[in-house]
Amino acid sequence: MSSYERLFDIPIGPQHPALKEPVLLNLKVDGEHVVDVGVDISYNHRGMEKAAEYRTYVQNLYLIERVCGICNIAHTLSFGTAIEGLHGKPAPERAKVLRVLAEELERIQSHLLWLGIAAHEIGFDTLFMYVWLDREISLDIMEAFAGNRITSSYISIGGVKRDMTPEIAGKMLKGMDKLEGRMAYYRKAISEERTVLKRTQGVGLLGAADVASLSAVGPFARASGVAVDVRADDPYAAHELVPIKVVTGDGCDVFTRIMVRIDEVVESINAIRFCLGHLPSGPILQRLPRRVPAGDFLSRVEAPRGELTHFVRSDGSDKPYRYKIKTPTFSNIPSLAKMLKSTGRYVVNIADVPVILASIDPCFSCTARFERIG
Amino acid sequence: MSIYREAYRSLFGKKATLGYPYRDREMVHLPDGFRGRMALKREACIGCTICEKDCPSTAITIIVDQKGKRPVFYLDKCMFCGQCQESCPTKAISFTKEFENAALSRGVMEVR
Repeated sequence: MSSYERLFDIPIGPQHPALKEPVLLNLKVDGEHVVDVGVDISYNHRGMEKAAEYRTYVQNLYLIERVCGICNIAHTLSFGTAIEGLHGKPAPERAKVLRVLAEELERIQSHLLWLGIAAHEIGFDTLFMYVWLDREISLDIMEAFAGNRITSSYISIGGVKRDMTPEIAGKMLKGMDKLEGRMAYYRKAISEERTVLKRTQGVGLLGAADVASLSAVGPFARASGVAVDVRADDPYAAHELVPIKVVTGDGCDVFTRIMVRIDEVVESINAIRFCLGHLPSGPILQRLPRRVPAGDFLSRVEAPRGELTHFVRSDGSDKPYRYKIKTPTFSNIPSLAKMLKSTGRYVVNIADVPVILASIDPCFSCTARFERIG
Repeated sequence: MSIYREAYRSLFGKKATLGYPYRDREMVHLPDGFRGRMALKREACIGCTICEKDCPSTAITIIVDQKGKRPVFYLDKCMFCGQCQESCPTKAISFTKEFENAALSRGVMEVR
């Protein structure tokens, strides 16, 4: 029984120094231990799905890209695949491989960004600075490759916008070698660093059975031993050709999530090397009509954070009739709520809440796209 | 332990950031294909108005000059996605490497 007479409510957010995005975690605490949590994610409704109905498909490409800045390639890839699916004309082979290349490059920068944020949340800002400095390597390559660091506008309907040149390929290979060395260093440094181990091992436990029953996705689910990866389960773009090893871990805690993401960066580096070596020749773009045939299409893409689902319904005009997006963070919210509750011998301290929240790689501004009224 | 070696290395290593305003513009390396301020080749433009229709942020308006219809770009609305360059049938629109486009008046932020 509790040593305290009653439970206290501690609201974290929607504005809080530990949070980067608006979310309300209403913690019920018994002393230092969190016993229950209420999550409210609808603080940042941007009305993007509705806005998509008033824009043409060409304009929507840039609206959809801005759903999430960090996973912009994943969003546009999903959008592009959906529109090409409605036309029944897939992108040319070269464009498909270039899309995988861009996607894996984005995964590298997103995972490095996350690694920095995780280090920041456990109070290890030195590591945060080092990781973000190395993230610049991938961002510089992205800038040379696609024209911009983050919102790259690389993928277009029917293919990609820019071709790979030998100079960029050389720059990319050089960058990948450098990043691979750095990832080996981080893997060693983090698994030996006492500060990190003390704050992450055994924190935020969630077993494989819970992860599977709560339909968690992405590196978060894979760190609990559930091998879900859209790239392997339902290959899109050129993923049938590019060999990808689904990285899993069985620690089920925050530390394993760090290690899984580091290993995934290495896998992405290998995938990029494979793509550069096996780039087929041919066109990179096929022009598609502005009016899209009537029908429904659902496309799935493995974004850096997990499975991303886009649904489009077309009525035959040049604007979508309905557009629906389900982001990976949304799928991971039930697991987050479960992880934040102390049960039996598993206790969650208030100080561990930021890093547990960060361990699902949350992106709430991408997620809140519905509003409950009344 | 290895993190101390890393700290030592970056303490005496080259700086990763550049001071702004730049003492030397040559220090900024922009890749080819960077999307900065756009430029219009007036003689190539045929006034088809496709750029205006495709612009996702309505940053292009069409005006009529001596030669006929032509676009005007508003940099304050533009998000530099490059769709106008992509849609232009005569390749009249291109992007320069000029990225310091902020100004105090909106009049300066028009590309005519």
